[in-house]
Amino acid sequence: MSPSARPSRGRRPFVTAVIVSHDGHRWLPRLIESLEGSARLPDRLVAVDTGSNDGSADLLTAALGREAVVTTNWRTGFGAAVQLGLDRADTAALPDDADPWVWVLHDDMALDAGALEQLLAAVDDDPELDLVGPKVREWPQRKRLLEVGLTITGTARRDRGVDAGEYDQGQHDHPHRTLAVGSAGLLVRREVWDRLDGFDPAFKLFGDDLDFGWRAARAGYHCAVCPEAVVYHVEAAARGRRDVDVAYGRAAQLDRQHALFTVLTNCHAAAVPFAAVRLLLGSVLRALGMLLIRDPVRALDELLAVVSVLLRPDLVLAARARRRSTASVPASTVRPLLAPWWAPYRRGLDSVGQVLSEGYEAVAQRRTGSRAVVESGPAAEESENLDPDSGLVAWLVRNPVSAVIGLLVLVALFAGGVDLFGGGVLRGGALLSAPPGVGDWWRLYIESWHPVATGSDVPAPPYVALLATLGTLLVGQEWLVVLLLVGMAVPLTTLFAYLVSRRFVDAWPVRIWAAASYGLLPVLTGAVGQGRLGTIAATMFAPLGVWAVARTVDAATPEQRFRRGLVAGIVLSVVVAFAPAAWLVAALVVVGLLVLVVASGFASGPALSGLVAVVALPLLLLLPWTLHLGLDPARWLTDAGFAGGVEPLPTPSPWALGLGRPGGPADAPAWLSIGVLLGAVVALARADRRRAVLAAWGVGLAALAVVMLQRSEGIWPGLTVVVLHGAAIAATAIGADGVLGRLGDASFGWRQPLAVLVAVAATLAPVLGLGWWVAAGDGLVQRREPVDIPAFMADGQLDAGQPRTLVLGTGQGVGFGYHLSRGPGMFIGQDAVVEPDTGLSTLVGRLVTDPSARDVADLADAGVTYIVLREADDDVASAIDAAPGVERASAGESGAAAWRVGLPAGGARLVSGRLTDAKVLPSSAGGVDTDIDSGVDGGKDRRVLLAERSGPGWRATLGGAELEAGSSGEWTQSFAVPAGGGRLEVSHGNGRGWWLTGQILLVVLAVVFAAPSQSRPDPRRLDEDV
Amino acid sequence: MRTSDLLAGAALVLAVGGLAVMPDPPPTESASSAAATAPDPPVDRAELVCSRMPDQDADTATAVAAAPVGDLDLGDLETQPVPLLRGESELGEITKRGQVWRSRADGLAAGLLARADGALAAGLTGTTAGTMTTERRRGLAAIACSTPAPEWWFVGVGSTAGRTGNLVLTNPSSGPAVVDLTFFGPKGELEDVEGNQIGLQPGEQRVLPMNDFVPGVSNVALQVRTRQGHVTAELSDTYVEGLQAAGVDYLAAAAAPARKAVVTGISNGPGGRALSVVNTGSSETVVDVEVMGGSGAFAPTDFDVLQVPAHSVVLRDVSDITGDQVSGLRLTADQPISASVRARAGDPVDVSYSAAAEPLTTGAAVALPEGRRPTLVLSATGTSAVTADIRVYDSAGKALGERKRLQLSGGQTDTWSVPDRGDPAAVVVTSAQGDQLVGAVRWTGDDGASTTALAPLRTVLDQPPLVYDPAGP
Repeated sequence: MSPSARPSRGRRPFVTAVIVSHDGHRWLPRLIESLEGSARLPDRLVAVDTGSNDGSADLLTAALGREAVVTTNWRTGFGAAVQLGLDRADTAALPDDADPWVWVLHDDMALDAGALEQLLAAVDDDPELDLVGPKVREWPQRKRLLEVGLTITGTARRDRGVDAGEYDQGQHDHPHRTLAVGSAGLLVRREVWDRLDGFDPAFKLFGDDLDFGWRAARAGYHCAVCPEAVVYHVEAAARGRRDVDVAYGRAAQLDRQHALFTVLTNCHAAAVPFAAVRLLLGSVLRALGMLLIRDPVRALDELLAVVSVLLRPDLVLAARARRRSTASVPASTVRPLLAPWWAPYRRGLDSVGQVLSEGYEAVAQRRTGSRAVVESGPAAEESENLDPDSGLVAWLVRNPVSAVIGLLVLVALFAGGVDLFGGGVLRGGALLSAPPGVGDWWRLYIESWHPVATGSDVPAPPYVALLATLGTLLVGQEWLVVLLLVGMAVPLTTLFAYLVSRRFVDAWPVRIWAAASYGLLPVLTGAVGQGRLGTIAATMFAPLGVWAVARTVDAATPEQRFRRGLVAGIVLSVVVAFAPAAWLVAALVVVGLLVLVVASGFASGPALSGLVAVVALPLLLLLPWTLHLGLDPARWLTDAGFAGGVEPLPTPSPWALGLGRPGGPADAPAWLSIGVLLGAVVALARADRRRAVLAAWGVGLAALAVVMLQRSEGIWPGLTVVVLHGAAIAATAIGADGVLGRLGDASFGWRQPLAVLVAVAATLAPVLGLGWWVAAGDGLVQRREPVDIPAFMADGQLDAGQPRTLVLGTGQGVGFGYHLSRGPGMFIGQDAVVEPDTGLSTLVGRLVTDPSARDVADLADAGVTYIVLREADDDVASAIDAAPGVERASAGESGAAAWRVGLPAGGARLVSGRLTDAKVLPSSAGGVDTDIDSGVDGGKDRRVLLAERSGPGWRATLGGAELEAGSSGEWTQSFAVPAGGGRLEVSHGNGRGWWLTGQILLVVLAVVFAAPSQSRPDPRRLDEDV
Repeated sequence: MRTSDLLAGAALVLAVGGLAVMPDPPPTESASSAAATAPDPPVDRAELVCSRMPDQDADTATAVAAAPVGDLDLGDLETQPVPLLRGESELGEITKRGQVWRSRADGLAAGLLARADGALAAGLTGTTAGTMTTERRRGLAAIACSTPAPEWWFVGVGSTAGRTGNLVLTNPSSGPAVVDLTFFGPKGELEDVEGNQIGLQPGEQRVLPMNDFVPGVSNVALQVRTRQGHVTAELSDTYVEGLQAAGVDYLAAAAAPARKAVVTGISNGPGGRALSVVNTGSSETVVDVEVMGGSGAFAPTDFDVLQVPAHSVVLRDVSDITGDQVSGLRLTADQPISASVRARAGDPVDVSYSAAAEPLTTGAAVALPEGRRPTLVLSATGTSAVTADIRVYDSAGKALGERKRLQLSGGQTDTWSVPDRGDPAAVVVTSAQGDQLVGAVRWTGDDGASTTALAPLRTVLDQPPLVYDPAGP
């Protein structure tokens, strides 16, 4: 029937109101009451109860009578329920002049007295209308607008015509045509309902009204909103205040899913593919955005919704087919009713602007807040002109912590034994130089083949990535990273320790003492002197780890414990990256706690599971490096740093170790810290803080166990001694916290003098530590020249052939040092990936005693073009002189000698026949990528020789065809090259990219889930109104 | 007691106990100390040059041995045969340890080269002894075969009327070689001698008469320094008195200058003995001379102070203080010195040279040409006692007779002659105090006398402790 033939003239509207109820007994009384109080009552009233469990059906029956109530099961969708109600109402006949209308009501709404009246008046004014809806306000305050007409954007966002939380001030009170109106209070012609078969059964709940309106518009019907009619809607299902049983999925996901479905089924046929892609991308972007604002649940909703829709194109197509039968106007007619294209982005820009303005206000408020304090209260004019009490002494008194840290900074700058000013690079001892740029650290971490010496494919340790991140944050100043970590180690460590101490100790003098003792630990100042970067960084971040773990134990809810455990795991990962021994200590602590729990039945099981997760997270986050550490104790127990740079140290006695002396060139006398140990022992006597003191002792004992392990392996116990001593400091500090009060209360006896003695001895520790730090003077770390080969050879290494230089005689006085130089000297992090190369050391041994022609050929195999002897050594010089095929070159600096290898050598060579005819190919760190000619003589026995160690990860192709690798047992990698020219590509790959991707994903996930999410109060616990 | 008290006590006990049972670290092994204590790798390549005689009519006997090296760790070196080459032709080969190859060459004067590659390179040694009976040359000249070295010192070289010295340089390798010659005279280094950049092609042997370099100078010290490649050097000296041949010998290479020089094997009997000392230091020095005799070392009475200026040589007659017994001279100074002693004795007179010797830290071995049974002269250079074990082997490497043990007190010189039993082909000397033991070999016979150096056996490469050091200086 054509819509134009409306038999409405002269007919009286006959309104059949249908209430759909599901567990709505909280709100039904209000609805019924408002219905009864309406100015215009509906002509018929039926209610459909879809399997309520809370007595709603009885309530309705009591109010409306048995015949007016239809009960059905919980699987009935909203639209189907309305249809059931209409079917029941149809059992009674209609009057002849009835113009039947359907008024759809939800169980969680209330009506304004004149709602129906106004709706009918709107229809009367505009007889073309087929669907009318009221203005919807929220419940219970009834002041804010929820909806004034419904439409949808191109991104399938429901546009309700009002901004969220808008107060109703009459700004939307003009009747206007819309695409649809919400089903709460929808008044629709009966024939329209029948024609369109009601709500689409694909929508059990949510979004059925939008789709209905769109279909109606496509069928040529008209819809408008009548703002004079007002209803109040709780939106219980949408807001999670009642469970959604009828369909599978969360309310938000279903809402979104149906909106997507609506768009895909109702849009122009030609636009469907474009819309599908746009919706998919949009959903993914929104999901990412949800993750960024730490709402992973909503992100999941978005993704599930779009996947559910797009995975069932058959449903979409079937729905489209159904709509084709009812559509009678072109899609372009409907377009003005859809939301404008810029609508979704306006919301986004609004939120951005809101965030920015809030941020600005927060900052501004802080400033004004601080001034407000000064100006609060009335004051005489004269007093306002007084200078506030300023002056260094007053400032010192007010900020003792800043004073201490400031003093430490000054000492570090000028007397700390590390020269922070001047030219050259900071290196020496276990500290190699910083790389030429932060990018080199990134490259070191990412590359699968490391171009250092003869090459290696050892996975780069994660601390390289941490240093690179730090360098990037410091705007690419890699030297600043080293400066801060090494030069400013003591003040920074003291600062972190102080910040963390707040959690455990109250009295600020004790906190300052603890922080200063920790920062001035002779282990730390000794590590700075020796350049042990791993120990220094781990010591700096260890207090943060302790803080994070303590927070985890104190968490209130499982969710909080999980989040805090993630944070602790991340911090522990940072510490472990620099000193793997820290993980052993943490694991021992957890094992000890487990034993305690099992033995004594302590009720802290849930806390323990969090701790176990904390200890497991570093193993996962630091893959594949943790796999590489494997079961080798030496690797687990050694802190990061170039161990070969520091000579073996005289082993300290066990008691010295206990007193915090790991041994080393800058080692302090053991008795310096006797006070701390005394304090730790005495702290055990204090019964009220026993538990915390025992916890500190437990950590110290775990560290002691690992120290024993390190000592049995002959490894310098850096971080573990720090933890050992730090635990003693913590125990002393906890024991000293508030002890004055307790001592004052107790009668005078042995306690007070003992406390004084311990206090004096303990206070001496940081003071003496400071004195020792200054007195120790210069350590191994100094400013030196970076490049150690003559300039012309350094330049030569920039050439495409990538020749190497063998540098001899560089030992720092202990033995005859050598290394293979490919360019700039080794930088921090590269020492961890270099593997001992017995082939190279054997070759060097022969070279300096009795070299033969074969040895010179081996040199060319290693890519060596130049040999440089740094320190004059006649025996070695004569031995090299005697080598056939080697001739003297100018050394470029006095006291040094240099030779040139007579064979062509470089990173990669193409050899067919004699070595002297080898052709050097241009190469780079990652391999070769160049064109080669077809060989002379048919190119038999042609090989490409790489000056890199052989390994399974090397691949070579010539014009796309794989080349066969050379025979195993060769020291360097080679490939057999067939006759014929083409593009030769040699590269190395060992799956590092996959590991890195996985690691990044894990880290991002850990960080995202560790951040506090948007707190949403459980809506079911919201207090009801009135 | 409450649980927490128990725990506190347990914590204390654990801490003290842990410290008490702290394990000892393994013996400190850094890379450098490990390298320093690591055993030196064995020699796996050697070129042994056995020299030609100065006279092509000499009756020459040569012996080359792969001497027994005891329990030297040869790693996984293969035992490959050692060919003995004269020019292009192969004269023979040594195939197993202990084997001694011997030959006599009548009238042929080319030397030979033994090229070893593998396990037999360690302990390769040889001796050439030639008898000359012409009018111009008469006497016995023996010399140990030599391996290329970066530096050679010859002390007491001269070229005067009645004395002809020839320096023979050999390049046994496959690449070019370049040497520099430096002469030290009584008044310092001889600057205007054209001795630089003397080149040798692969395989070339050059004879350089001393007359071309230092004509008319009777006593100089010569340093031959290899600038490039491998070179062996030998210096032969021929004496005539009037028209009569008056002896011939090789001037053995002396040990590199050091603060202590020991010359041993100085023969006894009538005749003149002259000591030549070179001081390569930067200031003048006084040299302490001690005679190491059969009962120990003593400072000779009536011996004028021996003063040697910087970069100079001094010649001193020591006939009075030596000669009644086979002895040695121990020279100490505060500057690096080297020395040699020339003895002219016998009837008809023959000349023999002894040069400052190197301590026998790795032991020593002498290959005996056919028919020769020399006398070993051993001196203990320090102040403590030295024990030396001497073993004799036949040409198949089988031991002959019992081991002979010589006990020397500090400063004592003792001799031991190879017994006339069986067919001795090699003599091996070992000592636990080898760094305080030096020796010489005296060859005597009807045809004359000669003294050769007893050089330490070349068994291991003197490798400095290697440390991988990427950080640089």
